[in-house]
Amino acid sequence: MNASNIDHVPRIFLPRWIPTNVGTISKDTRTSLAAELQDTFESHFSDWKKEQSLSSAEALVAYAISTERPFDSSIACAAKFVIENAPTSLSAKHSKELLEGASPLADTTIYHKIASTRRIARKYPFSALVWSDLAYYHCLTGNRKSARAAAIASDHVSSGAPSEVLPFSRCMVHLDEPEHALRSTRASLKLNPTPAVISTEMAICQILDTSTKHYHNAIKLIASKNITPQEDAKLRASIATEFVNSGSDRKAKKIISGIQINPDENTLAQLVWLSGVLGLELNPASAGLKEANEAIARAAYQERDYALCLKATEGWCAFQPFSVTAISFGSYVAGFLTDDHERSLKLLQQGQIVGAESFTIWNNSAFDYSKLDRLKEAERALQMASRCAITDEDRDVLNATTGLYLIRKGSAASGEALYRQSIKNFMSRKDLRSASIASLMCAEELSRVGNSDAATLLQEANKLAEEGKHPRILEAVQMIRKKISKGFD
Amino acid sequence: MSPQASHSRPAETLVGKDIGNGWTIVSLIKRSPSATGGKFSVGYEAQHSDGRKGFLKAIDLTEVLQAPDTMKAMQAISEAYNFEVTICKQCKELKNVVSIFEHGEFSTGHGFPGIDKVFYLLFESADGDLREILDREHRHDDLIWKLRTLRNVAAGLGQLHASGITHQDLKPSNILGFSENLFKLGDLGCSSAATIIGPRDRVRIPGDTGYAPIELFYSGHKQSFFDRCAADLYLLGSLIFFHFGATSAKSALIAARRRIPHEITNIFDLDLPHWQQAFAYSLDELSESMGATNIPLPVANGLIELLSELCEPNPARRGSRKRIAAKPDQRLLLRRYESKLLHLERLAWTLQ
Repeated sequence: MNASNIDHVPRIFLPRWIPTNVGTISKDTRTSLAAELQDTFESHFSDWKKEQSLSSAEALVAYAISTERPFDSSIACAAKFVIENAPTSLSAKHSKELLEGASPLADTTIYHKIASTRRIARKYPFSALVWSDLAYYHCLTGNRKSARAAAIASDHVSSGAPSEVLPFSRCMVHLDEPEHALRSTRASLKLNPTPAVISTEMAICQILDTSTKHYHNAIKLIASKNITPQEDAKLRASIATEFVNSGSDRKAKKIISGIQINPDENTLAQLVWLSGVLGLELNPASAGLKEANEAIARAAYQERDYALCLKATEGWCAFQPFSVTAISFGSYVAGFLTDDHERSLKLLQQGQIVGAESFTIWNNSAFDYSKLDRLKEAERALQMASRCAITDEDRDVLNATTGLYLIRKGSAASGEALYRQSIKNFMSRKDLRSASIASLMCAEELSRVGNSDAATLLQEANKLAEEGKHPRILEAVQMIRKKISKGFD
Repeated sequence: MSPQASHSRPAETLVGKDIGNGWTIVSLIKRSPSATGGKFSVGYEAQHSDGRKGFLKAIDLTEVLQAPDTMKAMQAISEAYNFEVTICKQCKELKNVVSIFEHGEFSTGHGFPGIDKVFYLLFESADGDLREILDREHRHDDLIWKLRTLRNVAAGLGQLHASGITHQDLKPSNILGFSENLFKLGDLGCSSAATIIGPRDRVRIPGDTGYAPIELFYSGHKQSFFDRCAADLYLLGSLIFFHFGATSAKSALIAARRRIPHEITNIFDLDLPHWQQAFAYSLDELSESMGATNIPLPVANGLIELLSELCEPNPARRGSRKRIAAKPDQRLLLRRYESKLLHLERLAWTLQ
């Protein structure tokens, strides 16, 4: 059976992790130059006009870049001259960027990016962000050991600035070392108690199920009004999550009501989650954020618009490709709610790399492979899932998925037995949701092989979903019922 | 009408004038304004009766009198003049710093009495600045010559620092060539001294903004003598970018930072990680660009290693990495870089 924890467990809203060399050109708000400062641009410009030589062109281009002058035709002329006459020089590279805009390394493969970032880190090993980028790329290739080594190097050279601590803590959480992330975050907070780091500390504390040490700092920062509206929104969302987790919904609603501006996309996703829990109305599309995929996916899921939800989840997976949560959720929506196993597998294939130790990834892969009758791959995925299964719940889910695999393989009786065993175990733990999903999946498979028990199981699934108040599963029961009545292809 | 009559400022009417001590002004030099005197100064070529050539920087008061706040402008120009004279006298014996021959004042007879006065500084004359010589002698591919100029500059800076002076405006146009083996640092107008209060001490970015280290663009940056020495090291590193990347350290840094999605906060400690990252990328780009030339790999690697110390964006970590922990007060000593450059020069000899 397909598994996802998004329905009943709150996601931990850690900061986004974006490698820093594939972004857009920043808007520059550098300190403006005072009149007393010495600027020799005119002198460089007149030299270029007079000499029309390579060195004067290079000097002009370098000066224009270093003083961040607006691009105009006179500088462009010198830049073209440099490109024509010294095409391999660094100055020519800068000239090209000046003419065409900075080109990120978007078209290179992940392995090229690893190689170049490693080379850069070797030349100058004191940039924590370069090490973080390397850790990010290693995470994407599933090389957790190298990712950890790079992340630790990043922590070693870090000055404790928020921009260094946030990617590090995100990486350590991804590598299942939240304690390390918390230590580093708290050390940074001693130096710079910034809203982003406080929010991260709160999120990591939620993972570790411990109390935050910075709740009062967050309240103080909000009261001080010395923070930007975005930072204010971020802190309020984090505090509201704390309140919701401790059952103080009224306090959570009150603190959210103070948000006065469209937040960043991560905070927006958190607010969508909070609004679902607190029963508030929030339309993430109205915020107009380009990368608000998670928020849109969550809102669409709440409104049962699964096509939009899946599309937004794919966007979320592309934006945060190492996020196992995003991939698990996407595969659940695609595989279980929309019956699109190909699309689910597309997401899961990335998941098998970045979340190679995730039970949900392998279990969902086995489920989708079995549904598509790719039984060899399903068998391998089941083996991996069995290695990653830790809890009793995991093992029962795995039993159900193995049941599906066996039925597809032709051993309907053994498959059904495994399904029934897992349903029994779910019932004994009063997990009606999982029990109803397992019943439903079993009914579908049995009806497929012409087993008469399918109708009974379908009724059972319907009853369990009604008892457990799971409207989505009820919808799925209806969908399967229609499918059965039409007959399988 | 003589050419001189068309000029209106006394400082622009000096061609042919005998200023005493055997010196005659020969011709006007069109020179970019520097910090000392700024738009108030005019450059001339002078010649001694014994054949020596000199560079004369003449300053008059006509422009000062037209400034919006005359007294303030007058004070500024006199402070700058007196400071440069003091500093130049102090540096007279330094091998890699341009020497001053004479200084003083005289009346030109052009304009009202008093206003016709010209104050001058007479320096030894060079063959040209670094960029001029590079172009004129086609030294673009001459690795050994480039390393030698860098070594001369490191020596000059070391001599200045040992005398308690920081240059603060080191750039190709302020490095003057006297022979194939001798380069000296010129234009001490932006310098600071450990013991004398100078006119540029209060200015946040004393030298050219196009070359200045990034920390100076942030308010609240410390301005001790040690910090100014660190800025000089950065400018020395910038010359490596000039020689081997045809750019400056700051330009390379800004170009690399364009690719980083980060809004500058104007708080140095918060922005520093991004500058360090940009610096790492700029080093890689320079290394790649050097790889496309005939520079031997060990020399290129040596230069990158030097650069990573000299242009480190964090001024507290700039300089010798080995000495940061053990002897932090010695991390900015330039002798080390002079010897490292000498080593690279020899290595280049061997490998080429």
